[in-house]
Amino acid sequence: MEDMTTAIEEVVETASSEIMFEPLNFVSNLSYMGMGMLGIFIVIGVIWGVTVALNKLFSKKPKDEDASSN
Amino acid sequence: MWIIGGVLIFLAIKKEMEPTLLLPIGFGAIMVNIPASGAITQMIENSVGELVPEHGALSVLYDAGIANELFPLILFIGIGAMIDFGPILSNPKLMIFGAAAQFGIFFTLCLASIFFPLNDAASIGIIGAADGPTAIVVSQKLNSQYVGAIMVAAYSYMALVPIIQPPVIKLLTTKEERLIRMPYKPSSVSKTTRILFPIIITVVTGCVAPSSVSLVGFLMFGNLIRECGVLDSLSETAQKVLANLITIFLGITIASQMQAEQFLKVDTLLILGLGLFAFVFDTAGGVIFAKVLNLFLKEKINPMIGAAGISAFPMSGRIVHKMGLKEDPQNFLLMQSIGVNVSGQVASVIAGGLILNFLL
Repeated sequence: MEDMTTAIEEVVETASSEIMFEPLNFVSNLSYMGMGMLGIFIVIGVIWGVTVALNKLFSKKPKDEDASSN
Repeated sequence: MWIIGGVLIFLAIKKEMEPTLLLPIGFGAIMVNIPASGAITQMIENSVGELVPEHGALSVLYDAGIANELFPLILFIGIGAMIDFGPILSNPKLMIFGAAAQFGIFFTLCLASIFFPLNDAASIGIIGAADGPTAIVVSQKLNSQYVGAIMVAAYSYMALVPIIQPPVIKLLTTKEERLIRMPYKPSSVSKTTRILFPIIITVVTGCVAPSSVSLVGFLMFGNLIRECGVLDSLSETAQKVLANLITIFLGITIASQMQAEQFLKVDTLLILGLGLFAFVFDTAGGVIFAKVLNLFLKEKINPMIGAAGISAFPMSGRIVHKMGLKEDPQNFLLMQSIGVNVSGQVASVIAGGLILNFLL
């Protein structure tokens, strides 16, 4: 009986977490959210601009398509 | 853990939920939780009474391919070779929704930091990237102790996207908004653009977030192999043989982190809950962004396509298209939603790179 109790205590101790609870961390880490979203939008914005430029520079024109098909 | 392994195998086979990964993960979980399993490294007593390691195959594979992020990066070559950037190149403004739909990653990072140290919180947040290789690379580089739980959460929720997204989309949109039509105006994309795009993306993203060069670079390398037109056999190999080979090793090796003493904790349940949160807020971020944009646009956007910015490709795009058809059988949103879905793939990798930049 004592062995069983000890075994159960060991299982509970293993399963229990070392989870902390620091609600103020949410606020202090909001800066990562701000920087992260801003960073993604900036990079995507640059990629968007580059894509528009590539499409303008290298778009297929109807005359070129006709010439290549002939 | 045997039961958990069995459940994952059941979900893979019977429900066909991401079988390519859930089945190897499930089976691996059973293997590593057999007492004194030879599949993982065990300390055994030698003839002189010293404890020496007896190396298990899964531990060797883990050190060879997961601990150094090699397997997920090689898998990214295959994924890059599978992606057609055509829809997004012909309509580049849709990329912005891919960016918006990464909101859940950062929001979950903040939320998880209430319960976990920052490196673990960021690794949990990256579940919202809905991208297995990104989740593995980020959690490994940040030395998270929850790689196994994060992987199971990421791949399970990717398979559950058809169940997670529709209720969130319906909650955040009106019937009127879901009926908005978006006529598709195809424009051709030149081969030169298709070739230069992956190269430029790698350079641009790498300059902004140098830690992301391996992630973005391998993805774009795979795409370049596909688009160059002179490496068809390599492209086919990357898409099929390479991707399948790495997936086999990845799945079963990740399971080496699912030993009972590491996995069966309250922390795991919390991680699964936060992972779900990440997916929900990704969806919400994309949809709400589209609704806000509509306040300023004459030609309205169907806000459902914002939800397709989650990186679960191509499932998320197809879900949005099906939801559009359900509301109006003449409303075809596939090209737009797939375009947004593809941009989400790129944006999620950028998000991973930015997180690594901030925290390393």
